[in-house]
Amino acid sequence: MKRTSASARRVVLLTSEVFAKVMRAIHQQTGRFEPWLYRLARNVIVDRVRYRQARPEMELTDTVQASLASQTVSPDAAATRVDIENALTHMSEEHRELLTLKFVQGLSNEEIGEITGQNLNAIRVMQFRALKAMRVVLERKGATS
Amino acid sequence: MKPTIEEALDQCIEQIRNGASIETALTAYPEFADELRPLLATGCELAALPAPPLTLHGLMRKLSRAARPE
Repeated sequence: MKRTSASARRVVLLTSEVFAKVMRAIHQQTGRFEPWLYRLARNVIVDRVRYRQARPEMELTDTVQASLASQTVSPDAAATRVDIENALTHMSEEHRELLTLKFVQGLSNEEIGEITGQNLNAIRVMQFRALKAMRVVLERKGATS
Repeated sequence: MKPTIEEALDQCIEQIRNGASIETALTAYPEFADELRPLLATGCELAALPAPPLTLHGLMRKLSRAARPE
């Protein structure tokens, strides 16, 4: 995957920023390390996105093409995967994050709460709304049976 | 107390994660079954996506996305 040198520099800067935050906060870390690290990295990214005042559009091509290239899947399964990945890009940032953490990453509501700072009831409500929104997108695109 | 539809959905998801089928999970909530069935199917399709690990590799990918030029 080729990147521009400017993009590569941004990655290095963001990574450095994350590691600097890890080093500053590691003594306060409790519980599972991965959600803590994810939350910390997420905050760095959110700050950067707000700074740029740009909505990050997740491109499905990298993820899907890489996974399709590395695996043998049936055409139907590949089409479903593309539909789902594509629908995710049409979700709000909050819904996309929740759906990814809950279903793609397989995290529990408690772990999601650690990352996003939401309480369990809010997560349950957003989970319902996010799945409904995703269903609407899939139906609009004729991707459901 | 009767569960809300959001609670029923969450319970169904947990059951499916533990190996139950969608229909089995819905038997406890017949009043919500028609509305929850397609949502659970979508959740299962999402769960079938390859999961990038919550590791430095996954973080690097997320960082890379955030770093893309506008």
